[in-house]
Amino acid sequence: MNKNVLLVDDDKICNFITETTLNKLGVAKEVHSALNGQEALDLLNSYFLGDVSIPDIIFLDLNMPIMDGFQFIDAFKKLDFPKKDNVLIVVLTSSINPNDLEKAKSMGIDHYMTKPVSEEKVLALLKD
Amino acid sequence: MKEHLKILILEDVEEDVELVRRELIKEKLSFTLYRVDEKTEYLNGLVEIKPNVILSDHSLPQFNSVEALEISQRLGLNVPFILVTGTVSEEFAVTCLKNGADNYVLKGNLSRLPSAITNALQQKTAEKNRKLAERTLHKQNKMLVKVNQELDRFVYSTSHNLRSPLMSVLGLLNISRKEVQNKDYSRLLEYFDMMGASIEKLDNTLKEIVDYSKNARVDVKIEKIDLQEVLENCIDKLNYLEGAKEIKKEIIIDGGNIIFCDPDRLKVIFINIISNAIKYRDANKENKKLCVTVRSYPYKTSISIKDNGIGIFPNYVDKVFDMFYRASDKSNGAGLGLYVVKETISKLGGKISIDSEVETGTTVEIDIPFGSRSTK
Repeated sequence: MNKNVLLVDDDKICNFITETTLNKLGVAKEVHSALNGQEALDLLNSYFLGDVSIPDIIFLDLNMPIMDGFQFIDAFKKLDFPKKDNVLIVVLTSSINPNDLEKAKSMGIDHYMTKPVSEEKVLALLKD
Repeated sequence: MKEHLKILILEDVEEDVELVRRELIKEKLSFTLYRVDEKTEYLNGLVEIKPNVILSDHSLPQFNSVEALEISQRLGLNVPFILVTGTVSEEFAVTCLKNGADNYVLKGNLSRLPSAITNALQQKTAEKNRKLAERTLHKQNKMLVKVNQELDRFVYSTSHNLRSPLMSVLGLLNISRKEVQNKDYSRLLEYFDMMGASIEKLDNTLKEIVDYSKNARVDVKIEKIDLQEVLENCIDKLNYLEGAKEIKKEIIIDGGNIIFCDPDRLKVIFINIISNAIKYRDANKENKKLCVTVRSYPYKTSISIKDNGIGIFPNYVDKVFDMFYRASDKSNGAGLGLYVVKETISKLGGKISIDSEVETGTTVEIDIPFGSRSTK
């Protein structure tokens, strides 16, 4: 289970927790992190240039400055690259606003994880 | 009815005016009658006399009551209009009432006129009060809906902003626990530092919320203030921030140190803006600078806070004052800081603007209507 992972969260500590958890489980191959949606898009663009591998999973926070998670989902949908449909987007948020969950669902995001990330949650996700 | 009435009477027969006058005197109404009998006079009368009541005969040589009523309505006067006429058909009278006349009185039964006037006036007043109450209610309702929506947003956003660092602490705790169970203590200190940073972030958010709430609830309290002292205090307080000591700070005060203003609000403004200047300093610049220039006038103080930090992208400048808006991931709070500043300045009756250029720096200009004189 060697997954390439992209972490998108403005809270560096949160990215750290996710990365540490994935490493402990030994499921991650290449992990990159971005502090907002725009940085994530920039990273994805560099994937196309062949510098790094295209991610298998994107852990996406919703509330971020500059470009938030919803805006990123919109922009991501407009991107065009091979095997895009294989990329799993997991919304990872501390939001308890039910509207956020509904909005993410309406945008076609089926995986929703509440913070903090734990080994159990990641294993459950990978089982699906 | 104690009020002195100005009654505009549209009537071509002098004797009929006298009959009306006699009836009104009989009922001890306090009034002045202004008689007109053609259109221009009527129009001038409406505008110049501003009558409380209009009495109108139906047919006049070049004019009639239908047109007279229409004119008073078009002018939006909202003055009782009573038809005082000889014989008209019942049908006609009903049409008049439907068109907006308040009442009609037959000349053969003028004893009804005083009470018709009194009733019409009372009705108009009641109607006016009702409309006013309705408008107030509508306005309050709209405001409540807005406040409610803001409150909802506020609760969700703050709970999110408080939960976020809390969940990081929890996540770090989980990791630490597992490592301790495996007798691996090598990274614990690193985790503790991160927990500390998360808790500090949470605390900043709480402070921002308290500032916000204080500004909204506490009245403006004017005291004598030494600007130099307040500014030095604020800068000292922020010296613990990362990078604060690298920045050369300058305070220029022009027009006298002493002003009369709300010290707590002034501190909130200075602390927020100066801490932004420190947080968004440009690491690439050797001479990091912050210059606070204050000019005090008798009833006004102008403050300019200029830094040579990283600046703000043009498309974010307009949004930095929005509630919960964070233009950068360096933001270490809920995105309330500049919103609180804006609200605080508006509570003081002042204004704020930001001029910023990426890589050059940011200048914040503030004007507040308080200066070196204590009272106007």
